[in-house]
Amino acid sequence: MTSSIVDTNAPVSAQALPFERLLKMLYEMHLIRAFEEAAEQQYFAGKVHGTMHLYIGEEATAVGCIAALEPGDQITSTHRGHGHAIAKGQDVREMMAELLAKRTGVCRGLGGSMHMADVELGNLGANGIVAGGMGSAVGAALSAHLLKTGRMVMCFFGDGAVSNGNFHETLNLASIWKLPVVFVCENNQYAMSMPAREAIPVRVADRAAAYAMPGVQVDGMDVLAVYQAAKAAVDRARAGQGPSLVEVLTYRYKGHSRSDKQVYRSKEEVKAWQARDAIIRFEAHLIQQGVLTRAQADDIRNRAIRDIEEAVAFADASPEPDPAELLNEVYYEEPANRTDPAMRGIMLRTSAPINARPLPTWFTRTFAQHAGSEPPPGERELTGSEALREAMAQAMEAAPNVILIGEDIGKYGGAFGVTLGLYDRFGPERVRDTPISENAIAGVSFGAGMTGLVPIAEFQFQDFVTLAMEQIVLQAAKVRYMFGGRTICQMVVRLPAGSGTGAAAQHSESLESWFVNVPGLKVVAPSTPYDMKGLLLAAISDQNPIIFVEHKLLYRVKGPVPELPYVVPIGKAAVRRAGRHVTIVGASIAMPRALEAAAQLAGEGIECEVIDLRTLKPYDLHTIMQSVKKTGRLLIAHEAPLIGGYGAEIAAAIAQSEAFAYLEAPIVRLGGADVPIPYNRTLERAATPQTEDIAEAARRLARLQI
Amino acid sequence: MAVPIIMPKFEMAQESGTIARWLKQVGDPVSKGEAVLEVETDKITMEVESPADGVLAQVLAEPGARVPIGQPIAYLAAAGEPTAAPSPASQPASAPAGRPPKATPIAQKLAAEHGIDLSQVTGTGRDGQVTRQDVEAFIARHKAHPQADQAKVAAVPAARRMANELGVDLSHVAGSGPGGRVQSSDVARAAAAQREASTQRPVPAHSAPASAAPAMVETPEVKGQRTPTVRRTLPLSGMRRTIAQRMSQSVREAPQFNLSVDVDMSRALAIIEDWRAAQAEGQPRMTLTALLVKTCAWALQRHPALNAGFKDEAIIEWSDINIGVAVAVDEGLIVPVIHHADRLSLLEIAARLNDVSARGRAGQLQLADVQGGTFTLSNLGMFAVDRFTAIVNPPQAAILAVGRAAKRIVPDDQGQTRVAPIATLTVSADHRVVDGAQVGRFLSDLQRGLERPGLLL
Repeated sequence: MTSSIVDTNAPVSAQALPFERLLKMLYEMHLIRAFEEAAEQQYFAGKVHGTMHLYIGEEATAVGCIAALEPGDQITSTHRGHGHAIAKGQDVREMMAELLAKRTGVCRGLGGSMHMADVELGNLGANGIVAGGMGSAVGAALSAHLLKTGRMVMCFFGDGAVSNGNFHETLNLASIWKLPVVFVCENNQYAMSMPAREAIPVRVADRAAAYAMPGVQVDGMDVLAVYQAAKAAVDRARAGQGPSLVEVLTYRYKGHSRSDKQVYRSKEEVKAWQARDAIIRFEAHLIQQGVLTRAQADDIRNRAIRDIEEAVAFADASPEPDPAELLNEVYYEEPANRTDPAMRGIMLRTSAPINARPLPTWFTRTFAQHAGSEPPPGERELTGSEALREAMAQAMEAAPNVILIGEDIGKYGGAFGVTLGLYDRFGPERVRDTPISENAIAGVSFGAGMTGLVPIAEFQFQDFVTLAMEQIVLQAAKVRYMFGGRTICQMVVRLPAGSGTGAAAQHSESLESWFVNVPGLKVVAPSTPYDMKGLLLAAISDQNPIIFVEHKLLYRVKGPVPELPYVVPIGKAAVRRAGRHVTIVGASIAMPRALEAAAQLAGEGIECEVIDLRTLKPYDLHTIMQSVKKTGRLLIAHEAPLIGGYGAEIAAAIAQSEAFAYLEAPIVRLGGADVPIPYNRTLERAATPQTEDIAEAARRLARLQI
Repeated sequence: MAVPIIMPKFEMAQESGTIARWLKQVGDPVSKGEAVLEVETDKITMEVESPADGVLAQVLAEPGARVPIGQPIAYLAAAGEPTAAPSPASQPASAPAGRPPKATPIAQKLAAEHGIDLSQVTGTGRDGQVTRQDVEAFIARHKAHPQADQAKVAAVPAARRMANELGVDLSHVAGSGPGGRVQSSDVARAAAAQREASTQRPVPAHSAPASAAPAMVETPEVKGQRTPTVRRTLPLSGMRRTIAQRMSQSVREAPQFNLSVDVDMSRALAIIEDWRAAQAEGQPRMTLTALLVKTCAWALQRHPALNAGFKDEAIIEWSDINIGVAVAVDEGLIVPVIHHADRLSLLEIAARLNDVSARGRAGQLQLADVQGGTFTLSNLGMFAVDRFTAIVNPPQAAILAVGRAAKRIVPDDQGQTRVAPIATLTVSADHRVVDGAQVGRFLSDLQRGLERPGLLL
């Protein structure tokens, strides 16, 4: 049996709290309601660009729960997040300005109603994705745990989230890792129109049993009962006993969003809940307890209304963002780059020569002794795996906040053995094996990367990143921008990619182009052991989420690798071989193949210039342009499918550049066939461009037969 | 005041002419009526006369350049006048004529007046028919953008850039790339040729600036390649262009069929021998071709259905019998016409053949020599060719291909074998005009006429 409404006539639960705390809670509840009512009026007045999800009716949840936290604690919020933000102490003027899309808004007008998070204040995210903030809550709790900050994380989510995989993956992880997090299910009875009683076959609180944590259900129209339940959960977590689940039974008086006609519920039902209004009950309780008089209660309400009126005036008077600043907050920029006009805004296509870029500040801060940027390769040879492992080990050695997270990366050493030995060296706290929970791996990394850790997440196969697209694409990539550039997300996602191992269709994909299309992500695809180490250290040092693509066939390839830490700049290509007849551009596994093809063609009198992009976003258009101007012929090769592939971007960029006027022949692209990778060895080879394919295309291009 | 010399029009269907050579150089005095240059058309080479007295002030087109009718190709200055003439818009190249599009009569007339190739005009009328408005719009557009046609030359971006930098007209550059695409190396060669030419005479209006050629991308010398190396690429001359166009048109449009007959040439050859034995020095040399022309004329008199053509969706039977004879020359072949062959004696025919062959090889044929054919003869009997089929020469309906007379064993009337010179004659005919039976009857008479030449008398 599920119950939706608890005893309607019970008085609120008395709590032994100081009067000023109680009055502050009452003021916050009024402030939330006044904000939401004013927000609705702004919407009616046509001043709100998008929609909004109003919190009216649920004030006791945010206020009661957050009253149980210390100021330094953190929360994650939802699409219906105005109340959480106000209860956390955010400035209502900044919030109203954000709602009206003003430059003075908490997110500088970039986020809007669904993303009013003030990260510095401890609100890690109002989130437009149901259950989307749960991974970051666990990630933040992991930061608190490993960095020993003593912080708590309170994770708000709705009843809709309970049916999402994130709920199960994150409660499970938080429980097995005993993290200081309180999960608050704000059960307002409907996920948009879907009634909770139809969507969830048990009480939400009962689901806690599956994750071996306490689960309680509490009347959300009784702010002190909510406080009491939350306090118990917080105290338990702070004592190191792990997470709890608190189900708060509450109700939204308004529709899901502004376009909701509310056909799924009756007016009587709404009235029945309004009769138990949490503010009225709390006021009555406080008057009855002699804490305040009616007149004082009215004063508190009027003060809240006045504060909101002032917030509206502030928002109205504020300027809109300047379109010239459109791109400013997509990526974290090194301070040195921010002051250099040529470097202002990340250069996704670097058509200017890459000057000596300053080393990442994190890198220089972390490594007392290092070899700088692109040092001479030296004599020592490592395999690709060893180079990656050394990069991670050196980062972990120098910075205690660098951690590894993934499936079977511990004692097992990772699906391809890349992390072998790191578990023994750095222990289970920093080399964290996870259950099969890809979205949670990404989500925890995202939350940890926002809160002081530098997580390196490993996916067993790039294919499996499809199970984590929500946390990578909708959360990690966008969080900085949505929050007006007021946070970073320093994380690396390592993806073993590509075919050639006979692993067939679900373990052989090359999906890197997908991520190139996501603003906020950088995509790195090294081809040599030297670059694997240097680019991984650059990726770890970069305070943006990085997709790090590792072709499986390159793990065993040997090459010289300097011993000290060093970086290879992200966004800089390498000319692997100079030539004058044909330019071959590629990255990752296409490189050794292109180089082998170039060596063959040299015997035929054809000199190929081979350019290793190394990073797909940002990418080094300048180097390609210079080469094409010399050779007049461009061949682009990649293993990922040809249609819509990354090569199309390069081809189009060259066709649009000044190098176009130097072309002697059509630009030629080679890419994977439009086929799932087959198991059969011959078919598997045929599905992607091999050395002979590159050689033949380059040969024909050189002879102007294309 | 500068007087322009324009590319003149010599023939009805002519759209452009190719500069063969300049007989006068810049700075030379010329008098009115004096030949200034030679122009090669699809069929002949003509002299262009000066329209006025003066000095050749400026030459706008180099030998080999193809210039549309009506475009200035040179300027004359009055004696003593400075020789700088106004720089004209550079000539749009006339693109090779494709399949002639449908056009309204008014549009055709207008296009002819302006020397416009109708295949270059986009038709907006019914079924894509070109209307008067289309032609007018085309004229207006090309006045506004005389360079527009340059864009239609297939050239890679690098070649365009270099052509622009070096002032090379891409329409005059032969492409060595796939499908005749112009590469930058082609432009560089053309520029070098321009420079070389310009060192020998004052600088023409659009020759290369003095700067060195920009870096050209190099094509590797390839070892062990699988495709043949190009020895040379020859831009189509007027004659080859005409052959290419007309033969392609014939094969594309005319459904052709072939009928052959073996002919005992004993008596025909005997007659030629008799003539040769009897001929005095200085008389025209008698040839089997002359006899073949005579016999064809005789047979065509009896079969007017083959002295016919296909034009504008109609069959035309001509009353004149004008037999074109394919003559090989260095660059290809020309087809001088023996007009009214049915009214000429064998000796007259031989005389005319001697004359046109000689002038044809010397490039001195006049327009009248090659116009008006109604039937064509191609004799390859002087080579080791036993039999062959020819391609109908439109708008004519038929062509006769004659192989060599080779000794073969044949049965005689008594069923005994004998040796006789036998030639295979093959008629290719346009089935839109004639059918197999008609050609069969024609072939029978041809055979009869050649085997019994007395009938021709």
